[in-house]
Amino acid sequence: MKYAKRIHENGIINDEELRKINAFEAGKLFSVHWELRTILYLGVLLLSSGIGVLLYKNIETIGHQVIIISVAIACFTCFFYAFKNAKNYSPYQVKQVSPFFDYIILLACLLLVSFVAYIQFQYSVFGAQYYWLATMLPSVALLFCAYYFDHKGILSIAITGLASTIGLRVVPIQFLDRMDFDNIALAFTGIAFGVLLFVWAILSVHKSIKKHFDFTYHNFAINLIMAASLVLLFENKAAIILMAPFSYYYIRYAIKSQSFWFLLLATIYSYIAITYTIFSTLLSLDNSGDGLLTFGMFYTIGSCAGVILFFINHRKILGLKK
Amino acid sequence: MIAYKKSSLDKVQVLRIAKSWFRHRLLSNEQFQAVENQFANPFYTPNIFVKIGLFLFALFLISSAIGLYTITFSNLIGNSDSNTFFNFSSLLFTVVCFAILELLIKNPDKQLYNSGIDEALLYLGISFFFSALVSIFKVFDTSFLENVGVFIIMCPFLFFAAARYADRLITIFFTLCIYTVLFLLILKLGAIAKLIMPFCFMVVSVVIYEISEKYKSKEELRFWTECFATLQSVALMLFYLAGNYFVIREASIEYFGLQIPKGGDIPLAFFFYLFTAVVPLLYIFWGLRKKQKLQLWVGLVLVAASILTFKYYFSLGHPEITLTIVGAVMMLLAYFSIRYLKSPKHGITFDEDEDESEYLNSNTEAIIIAQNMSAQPDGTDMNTSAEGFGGGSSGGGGAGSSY
Repeated sequence: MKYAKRIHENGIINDEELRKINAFEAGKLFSVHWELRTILYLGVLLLSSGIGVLLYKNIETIGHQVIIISVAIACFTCFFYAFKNAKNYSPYQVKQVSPFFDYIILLACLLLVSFVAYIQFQYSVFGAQYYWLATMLPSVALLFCAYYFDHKGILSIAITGLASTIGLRVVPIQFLDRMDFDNIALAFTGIAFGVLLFVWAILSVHKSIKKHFDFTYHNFAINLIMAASLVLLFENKAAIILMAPFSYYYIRYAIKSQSFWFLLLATIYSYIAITYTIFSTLLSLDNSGDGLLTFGMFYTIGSCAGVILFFINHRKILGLKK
Repeated sequence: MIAYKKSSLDKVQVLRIAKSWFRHRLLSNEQFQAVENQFANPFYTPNIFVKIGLFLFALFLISSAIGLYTITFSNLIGNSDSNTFFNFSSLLFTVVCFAILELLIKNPDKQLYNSGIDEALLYLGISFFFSALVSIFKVFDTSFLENVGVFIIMCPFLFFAAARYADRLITIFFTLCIYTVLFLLILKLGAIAKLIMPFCFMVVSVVIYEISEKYKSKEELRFWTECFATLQSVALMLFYLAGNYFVIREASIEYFGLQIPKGGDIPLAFFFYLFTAVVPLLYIFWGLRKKQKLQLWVGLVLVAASILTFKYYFSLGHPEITLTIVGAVMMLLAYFSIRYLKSPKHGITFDEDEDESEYLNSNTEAIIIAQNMSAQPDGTDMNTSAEGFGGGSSGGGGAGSSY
């Protein structure tokens, strides 16, 4: 309680208030809120992925019908519970009453995805031609659930599903590791989908439809647009024009919404783009390579110092007040 | 001893705790404002993502500075004396890194504290020193087991760095360094080593834990509370690992040439099975009993380690069934615990601790991104305030890995 004593000594609080604060600190309960929520969440993830593999591995055995029926029942029960207990839809943030609600609907959605994938694999319900419906239909259903039950996690899964329907395998964060954009057409598709998400994010804030989803949308949008633009950039340097407005927008957005994740992403993507452009131009002008190494070192030192100064003084540089 | 200004560190702490009192309406608006004025945070501690950016770009910058240095000077010196050149350069860079670090911390304009740049300099400085030692002692030419000297020299150096910069990662390295020295020294004892090794590790862990416990709450050592908590987490983990069946079995085969006949088992196998199964649960029970997050979290992580250990030796070849069952058990466990804690029992509650939630929320975005999807509430409440020294309950290396 030494810190309470300190502000007491400074005359900010009186004896009575010091006593109250000390009593409050002594009577604090031990909260295991986050521990239990984490266990619950991990439980849902393990269970649903276990069931997914279980379905896949037992396709040829006698037991598979039993499993698929139980999955269908479990999925249906979860959805039944969710629709029965959900609060009414509202365009604003909704906090469900039960602490289990979010996890039950998450489980329902994950089971639904496994279920549809299974029946497509086993019975080809959508046929060979419309196989993409097997990812698209559950994604659309998930999108509906994300809005109806106000669940950002489900929204992420839905967007990933939609993206994979149109041929992108999207797993946030791993973008730079495993860029699956192996051709230009796919890169353009990625940019188009990213811009769509970007526009929708801005519209939903503007129209106040689940405003708080904008982080999720922007997160997918910036990664899609920037990673796909980088792929284009490696083909044609003109693509840097494509990145510039988005970089600028996201740096502004990051500071305005105090969400520095976007500042970091925009800076790193832009840094890669600018560095690549400079060096590939230099190489094309003079491909002997002499002195380019030394220049590279000086460039890295200078540019890194520049980025560090930008990070530290970004408010001043962009003319924004805190 | 500590590099950062003590009065400033205190201010950060007062501000942090006053915020919590303000949230609980124990301080009025005016009072909180008075605290903010009198205890204004003088440090530059950016948001976690800015910090990551600063850390990365500081690393790039220093690496290319080294590149430039190497290109320039290696040509002058030639290839004849490359070893001496390497040793000299490593030591030089150690000195340079620490010198810049000190200058930046002492800089009156912008006192860096947990800013990413200071961490980058600190970790690089230590890496250069270590690589100089490795090269001087010619570690790569000899076996790992003969190099106890390197680790003995590293110990005081790491201790000094951990103490001066109150850094948790360095504290972890320091503790691991002690254990490495211990391991190598015991190994030198010969045949008796394999009998006493696990028990020596356990005793040392208890000693480290108890010493940290004794000093953790001392008023004059308050800047190192987090470091002591880190020491304790590592000690708890190593105590467990010293008796973990997998570790014992594999180490016996690797270092003591133990040969296990088919159908046979290691000596004292039953004891180690029991130890593996029981210790994590004891930690959890201990944490709940004494209301300590440290033991609770370490225990939760180690339960996973124990499950993996048993799975490794008694696998039925159906990981998907294990996943399903473990998932279901976890859900049921959490479900009944939450139901049970509907009203607080034994001073334990399921209600959110707002201070902890704020600490987590300021990092939730990071968690959300890392997990790729989330069932957790809004993480847009990003605050730029200092969070590094904060959250006395949530310290330790174990804490990070449970999320």
